[in-house]
Amino acid sequence: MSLLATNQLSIRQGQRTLCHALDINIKPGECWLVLGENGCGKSTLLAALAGWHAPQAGKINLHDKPLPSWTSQERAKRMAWLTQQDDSAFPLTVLEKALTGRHPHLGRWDWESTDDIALAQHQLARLDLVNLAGRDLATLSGGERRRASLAAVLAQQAELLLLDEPLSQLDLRHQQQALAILRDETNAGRSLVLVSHDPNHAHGFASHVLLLFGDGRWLAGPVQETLTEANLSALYRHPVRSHLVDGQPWFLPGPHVA
Amino acid sequence: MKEHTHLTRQRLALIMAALLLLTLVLLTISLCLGSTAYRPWQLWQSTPDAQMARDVVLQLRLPRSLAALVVGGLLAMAGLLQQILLRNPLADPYVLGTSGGASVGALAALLLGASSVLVSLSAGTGALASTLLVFALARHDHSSQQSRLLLTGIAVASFAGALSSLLLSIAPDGLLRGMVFWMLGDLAGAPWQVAGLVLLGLLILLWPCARDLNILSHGQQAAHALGSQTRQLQWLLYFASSIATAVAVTSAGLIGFIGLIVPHALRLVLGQDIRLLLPATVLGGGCTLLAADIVSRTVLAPQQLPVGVVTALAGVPVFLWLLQRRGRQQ
Repeated sequence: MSLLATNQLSIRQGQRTLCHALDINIKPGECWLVLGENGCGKSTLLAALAGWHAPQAGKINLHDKPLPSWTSQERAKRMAWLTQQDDSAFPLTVLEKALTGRHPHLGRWDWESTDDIALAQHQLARLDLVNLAGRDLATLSGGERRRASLAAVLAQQAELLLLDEPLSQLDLRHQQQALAILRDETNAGRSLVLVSHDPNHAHGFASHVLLLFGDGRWLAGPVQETLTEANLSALYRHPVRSHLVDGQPWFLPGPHVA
Repeated sequence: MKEHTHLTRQRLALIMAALLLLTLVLLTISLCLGSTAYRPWQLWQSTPDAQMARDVVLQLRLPRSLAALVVGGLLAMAGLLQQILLRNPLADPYVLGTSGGASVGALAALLLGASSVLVSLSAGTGALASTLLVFALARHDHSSQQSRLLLTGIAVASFAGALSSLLLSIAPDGLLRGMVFWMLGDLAGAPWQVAGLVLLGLLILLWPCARDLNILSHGQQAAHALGSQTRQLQWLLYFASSIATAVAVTSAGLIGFIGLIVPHALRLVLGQDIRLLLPATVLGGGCTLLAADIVSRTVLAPQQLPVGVVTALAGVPVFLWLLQRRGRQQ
């Protein structure tokens, strides 16, 4: 069974081909870590998977049905997308932000129910934001705003979460907290596509990685086979060394080779 | 005081009831004040004086007051919709040149001797064209202040002003008087019935989309991810704000700052939820223009001031004060 699958998907941005003939198949409970240099097309790929950026060629299927044939509300019930930029032009409280995740589940005349509010509050509690529920997002720090956006995406209760650098700007403790939450979500059967700059985020819960080389080439596969010193060194065009800590490989940049 | 975190139905009903009450109070004041002041109960007496008072109130002051309510509501709504469309709290049909575009369209039609229906259509086209121009020129402005958007709007507004002056200067004497009169605008004799129907129609069309508009104002991609039809909503906002502006301008001439100040002030007091802001803005805009009209009729009575002068003179300092206060809070 496949949740989201791409078939010969090619993505262009302007004159550049970011990804050529991509074939991946995301199943329930899988977590895909997307890695690559700055500007290699990670965010654009996510935008294409979310149905926002029109691909140049190829198909995207959600539950074996072409993505464009889903109504936007039905798509949003199944797929959430955390974008990189999420600043609001107008003041907005943290709770209001979390409640936006309930939008696709409400009919035109519905109002957020006490269940919706309890669900949003619960997501805020998971991310340490309860005390900030009434605060205006603009008065928060970048990391706190990022966590509020993540709470909204979690409140959407979708089967598939497309997350564009959800951990950027988070401090060490909150990064670990957010990673634990994402691990719980995959254990609950949700699938994740996680864009990150840190290959070590794969630890413990990423099942697959997708490496984007920025010139159309890509490499996808299970973590054990694909996340290697050689592949990462080629990806980042800088030596990457693997170090075993408690039996787990950790990837650290090696000395620069001129 | 309990911290306000989100909008509930009860809060919506309470605030709308309070605003309706305020509207009725202002309407009563407006009907009683003027060249002759009446007390409300005088109107129900059966003396000849009371009969004359009833004539004055029903035939002169009531249509004028209703026109002020409707035109103010349209302008405030147009401002709110443009602010959502352009994701900029400083958008306003007067500042962005929408009103200017409408008046160029109307003046051109008047110059060609068109009928009043054609004048209205031409004003609508002018409003749509100027909004489209601003939107097309400045849509890729992703800077946080969106200064290019405002500068583009101000440039388009100045251009529309120059075109209006050009049309007036080449107009033959026979038409000039009518054109100048149209441009200055007047709430007295403004066709409030048609404008009222347009306002009601737009409200009925837009309010069911209010939650979608909420998430659209957080950004297009976020709205898309949450299942909103962003493209259709943007076209809806674009047409609705242009039509509201065109109808307001053809009814009462150029009146500025209502669309900027009213939504902004209400956002500060009531929060950001469009489900409340949309109807509150319409009533708030109506009340503001009605209050401005009362002032314009009474402060130098029997002389009357143009109501646009009053809205600008009173509105701009209030706006600056609100901005100042918000700056200190943050």
